Amino acid sequence: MKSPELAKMKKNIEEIRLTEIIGSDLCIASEDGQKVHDAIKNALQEEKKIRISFKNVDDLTSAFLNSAIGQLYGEFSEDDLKDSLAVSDASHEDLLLLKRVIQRAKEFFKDKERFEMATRELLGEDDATAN
Amino acid sequence: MSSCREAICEIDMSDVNWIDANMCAPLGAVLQSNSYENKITKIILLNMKSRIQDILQKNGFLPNFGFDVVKKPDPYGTTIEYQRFGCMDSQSFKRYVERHFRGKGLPEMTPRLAQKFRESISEIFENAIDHSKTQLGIFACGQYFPAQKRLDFSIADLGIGFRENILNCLGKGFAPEDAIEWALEGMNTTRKPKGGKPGGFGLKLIKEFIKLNRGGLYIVSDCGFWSLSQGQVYKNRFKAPFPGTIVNIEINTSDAQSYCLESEEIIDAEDIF
Repeated sequence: MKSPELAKMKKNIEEIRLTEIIGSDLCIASEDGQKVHDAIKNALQEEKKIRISFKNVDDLTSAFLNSAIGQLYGEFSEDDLKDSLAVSDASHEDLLLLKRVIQRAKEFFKDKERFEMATRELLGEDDATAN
Repeated sequence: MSSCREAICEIDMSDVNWIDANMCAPLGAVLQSNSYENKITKIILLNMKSRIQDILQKNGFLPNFGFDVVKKPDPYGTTIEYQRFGCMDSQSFKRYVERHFRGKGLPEMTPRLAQKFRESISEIFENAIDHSKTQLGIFACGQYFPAQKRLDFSIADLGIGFRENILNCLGKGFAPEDAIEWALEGMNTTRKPKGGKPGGFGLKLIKEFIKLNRGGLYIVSDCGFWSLSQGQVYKNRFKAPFPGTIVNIEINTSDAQSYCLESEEIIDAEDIF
């Protein structure tokens, strides 16, 4: 039995289906990921809850997911994204890749000072041997 | 190249006894670069052995590059067509993947392996778009070697390469072969968090996949050479630079179950963000 609250909640959930946005089941190009990103960002700015559907996705790359979802972590807080986004119809392999992309995006944006420092240190160590 | 004078470039092919057809991608890149820099309007391949010409006609290299010959039929279906792409042309590459790697499929590969292969070359292509910063195009070509159960695919660009990209973005110099190695390690990326997208992940994923597949990954950039083959990393430096980057992947097509490892982790889709 559905409660009125649940029905109301469901009405406010927008489904964004990857293959419909890009018109293909090959979710591989960064520029296609950007289209998905823009759709998610618009919905987030309208304070909607979003279900990102991976239905019918065949090939999937990190380049696509970085554009579509990873860059959101530089624009919205982790808490907001956790609260507003959900995933459906994803295969286990898709989820594995998405999880790794999200982990990297969080690290990339969260602690940029440490990240840049680590990069500088690594490069500095190699100064002696570099051309 | 034996001689380049005025607008004609003559290439002596008499010592060429074999060419792995996928190497047409870097060959096309070199010829394109040479033509652009020296304003060459015509390239002549001299003394080419007929079996070499056969290879270059079957995979479309000669006709697609503009030589006055027709594409030859490929009765064994082992060639993967040479093609040059615009430097931002993801959509053409998608159509290329669709045309060559779906539907008719590739022989003797599990569907999951074929998918991993397609995803890998797509990651390489996107990486080239992202980093090469070139207007001269991206070049792709492949070859299936049924007897060795091997599928090779090469993508070449005429961009700035790993060493210069790291130098420009982070301000420090690596030896060219070390620059490639750096780009394949851990969280390393030349992207800047401020106003940027996260990235620098595609080649690392391919490295993991190639290790599991017991295949090969070979990268040339500037004077640097880096390879992973049979689990072993090898680095070297060439005397002269390649005018961009070549990434070649070699898939062990007999691999039927390398991917059980990636399926062991349990992912909670409700708690992924």
